[in-house]
Amino acid sequence: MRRTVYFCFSFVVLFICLVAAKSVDQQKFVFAISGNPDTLDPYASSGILTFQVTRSIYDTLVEPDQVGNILPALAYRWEVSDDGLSWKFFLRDNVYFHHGKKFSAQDVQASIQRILDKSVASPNADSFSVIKKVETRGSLQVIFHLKYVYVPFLAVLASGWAAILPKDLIQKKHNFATQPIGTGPFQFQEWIKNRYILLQRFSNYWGHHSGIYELQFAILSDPTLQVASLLTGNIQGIDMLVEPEVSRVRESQEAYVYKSLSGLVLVIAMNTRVYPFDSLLFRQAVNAAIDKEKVLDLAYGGGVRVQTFMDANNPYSIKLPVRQYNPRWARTVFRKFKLKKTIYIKAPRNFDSHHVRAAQMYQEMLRQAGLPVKIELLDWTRWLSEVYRRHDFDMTVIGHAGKLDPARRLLHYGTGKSYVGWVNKEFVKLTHQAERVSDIVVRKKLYAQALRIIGEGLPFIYIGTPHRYIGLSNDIKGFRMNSQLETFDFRYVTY
Amino acid sequence: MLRTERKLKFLFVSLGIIVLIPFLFPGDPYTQRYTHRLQAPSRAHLFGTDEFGRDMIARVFQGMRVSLLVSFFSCSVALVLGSIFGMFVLFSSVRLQWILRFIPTMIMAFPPILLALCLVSLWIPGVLTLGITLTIVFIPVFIQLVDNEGNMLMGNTYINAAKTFGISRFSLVSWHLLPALRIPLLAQWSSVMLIAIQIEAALSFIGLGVQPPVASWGTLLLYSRRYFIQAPWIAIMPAASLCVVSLLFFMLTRLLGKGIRLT
Repeated sequence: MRRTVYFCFSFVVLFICLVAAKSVDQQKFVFAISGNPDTLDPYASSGILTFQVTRSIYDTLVEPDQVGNILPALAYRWEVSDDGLSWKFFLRDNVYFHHGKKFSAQDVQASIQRILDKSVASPNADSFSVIKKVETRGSLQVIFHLKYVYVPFLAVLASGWAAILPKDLIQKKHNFATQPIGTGPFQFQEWIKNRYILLQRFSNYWGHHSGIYELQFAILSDPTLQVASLLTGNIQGIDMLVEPEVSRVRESQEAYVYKSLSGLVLVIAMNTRVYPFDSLLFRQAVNAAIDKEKVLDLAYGGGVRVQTFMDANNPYSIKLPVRQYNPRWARTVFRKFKLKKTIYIKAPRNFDSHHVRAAQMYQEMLRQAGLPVKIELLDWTRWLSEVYRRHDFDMTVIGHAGKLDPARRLLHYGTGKSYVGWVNKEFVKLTHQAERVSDIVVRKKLYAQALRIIGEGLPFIYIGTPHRYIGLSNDIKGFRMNSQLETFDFRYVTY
Repeated sequence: MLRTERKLKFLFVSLGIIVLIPFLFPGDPYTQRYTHRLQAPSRAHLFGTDEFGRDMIARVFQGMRVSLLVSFFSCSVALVLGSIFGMFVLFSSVRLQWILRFIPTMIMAFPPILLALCLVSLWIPGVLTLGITLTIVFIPVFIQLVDNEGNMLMGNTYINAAKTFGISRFSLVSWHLLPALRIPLLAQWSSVMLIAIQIEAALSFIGLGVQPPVASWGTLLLYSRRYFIQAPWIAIMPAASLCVVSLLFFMLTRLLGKGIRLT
C-alpha cells in the first residue's frame, strides 16, 4: 500500500515538474532582429539595433510612450525653474540595478559624466553638452543646471542614449558593451554573436512586470528563414517584414502582422565632401534620376513620401514641392560632368530584404540615366565604421531612425561634421535658434525654414517614411513599439 | 578506347554548345521593367522574369558566363602556375624539395571551400577577388600532380636516355615531361573546374562572391529563395543549368580518368 502511495506521489511530482517546465518554456519570447548590434553600451552607439536591444535592459529618467509623449520613468516627477535653466528630477525609491545595488541620484550624476567623458567618445555626447553641472540632493533628487535654455532637454533624457548606469561599475570601468547592467525590465544573460542575445525578466524591476520570462533576440538576417521560423513556432516575432513575406504571414493561420507607420526617413546619403557629390547640380541630377515612389513601394513595401529630412509622422514635418522624376534631364547633367571614377553605392548587407533591394533599383535607375555605379555590400559593423564614422563612401542606402525632438534629428547637419559632410550656416543658425525657443508656433516656423534648406540642399535623396510590418505569433498580445525611436517595449507582452 | 573517344567527343561538343550559348545570346540582364514583375515563363520571357521584372533567361545566361569565366580563368591560371612550380619542385635539391612539398600539402589540408571562404573574406567581395581566391586554392593541386607524376616519369628509360644525351632541363620539360602529363593535367583541370563552379556558387550564395546586380549561379539562387513559392521558375532555371553543367564536367572528368588508365 505504502509503495503504491509513494509511486502515485512521485508520479504527481513528476507531472507537476513537467507542467512547470512546459510553462516556463512557453514564457520564452524569441524575437528575430536583422543583425548584431555593434555594442550594448548605450553611450557608444548611434545604431538602431543597439537601442532596440538596450531598451529592455536600461531605463532612462523619463521615457516616451507609443506616440512620443514623455512620461515618468526613473524620475516620477520633475520641475523646471522659471528661467528654464534648472531641471529638478525626483527619483523613485526602491529601484535596483541588475547586480543588486540600489539606484540613486549619484548614479545619474556618474552616468552623465560618463557620457561627456571624451575617452568614451559617445556619438551622442553633444546632446548633453548643454549641461553645466549635475547636482544631487540626497539620494533621490537630482538637479541639472543648463548653460542656456534648451527646450528638447526632456526629449534628450528620454532617448535610449541617456540610459542610467550604476556608479560603482562606471568607476570600475566595467565593460557595458558586452556585459550591460541597468535597471530595466530584463537583465542580460548571454550574447553569442551572429546567433542570439538572451535576456531574463528582472524580478526586482520597479515597473510593470512582463509576461515573458526569457527574451531572446535571435539574429536572423534571412527573411525567408525568419518567416519559416515564425510559422513553425521557433520564433515568436520578426522586427521587420517586407513583401513577399508580409503576404505570407498575413495568409498564415499561425501569425499576424502588426502594422505602423515608422519613424524612419529612408534616404540615399551622398558624401558631399567628395567629387562629384560636392556639386549641388550633380546631387539634383541624382535626385531626378531616382523614381522614389517605385523604390518606396517595391523595395520597402510602401509608405508615405517625404521631401525633406523629417519622417512623415512627425508634427514638425513639412510639405515641399515634389521634385519630378526626370531621367532625361539627369542624363544631360551627368554628361556634362564626364566622370571617370567609379561611383559605389555602399549598402548594409544584413538589411538584405529592403536596403539591398533598393540599392539594386537605384543602380539600374542611375544606369538608365547614364551614370553607371557599382554596389558594395557591407556588414552592419563595417558599414558603421566605414560610412558613418570614417566617411569613406560616395553614396549609401540607409534609413534614419526617428527622434523625439527635431533638434536631435538635425543635430550636426550643416556643420560639416555629419557623415554626409554638408555645410550650411543658415541651417545651423536656424536649428540653434529653434533649440532655445519654447513657443511651439515659433519653433515650428524655424524648423520649417531649416527643413526647407536641407530639403533643397540635398545632402540626401529623400525617399519616404515606410510602414513597419512586424510579424508576431498569434499567442502574443500586448506588444508595443515607439515609432519615433523605433524601439520595442516588451513589458506588456503576454501569452 | 574508341567508345571512350566517341563519348569524349560528344561531351566536348555538348559542353561547347552549352557554354557558347550564353556568350552568343547575351540579352539584357539588367533592365528592370516593374510592370513585368514575377511573370511566369512565356514566349516573351522564356525563363520568366524576376522580382524587378528582369528577363530571367538573360540573367541565367549572364550567371553562366560569369561563373564559367571565373572558374575557367582561375583554373587555367592555377594549371599554368601549378605546373611551373611543380617542375621547380621536381628539379630542386632534396632538402629544398622537402620544404617545397610541405607547403602545398599544408594548404591542401584545408577543405577548398573553407580555404576559399577565409581568403575571400580578406578582400572586397567581387569577381576579381573570387578569381584570385580560386586560383590560390587550386595551385597546390597542380603542384602536387606535376611533382608526383613527374617523379614517376623520371624513372622511365626514355627520360634517362634523354638525360644521358645531355638534353637541357627546358627541353626535357617541354619535349618529354609536359606532353606525357597533358592528359592527367587536363583531367585534373576538369575536376577542379567542377569544384570551382560549386565554390563560386556557394560563395556568391552567402554574399561573398559576385555582387548584385551582376548575376552568377550563386546570386541568382540567393535572391530567388524568397520567391520560391510565388515564382519557382526564378530558382529552378539557374539551379537546373548549374546541375547540367556540373554533370557534364563530372562526366568529362570520369572519361578523361578512364583515358589515363587506358594509356
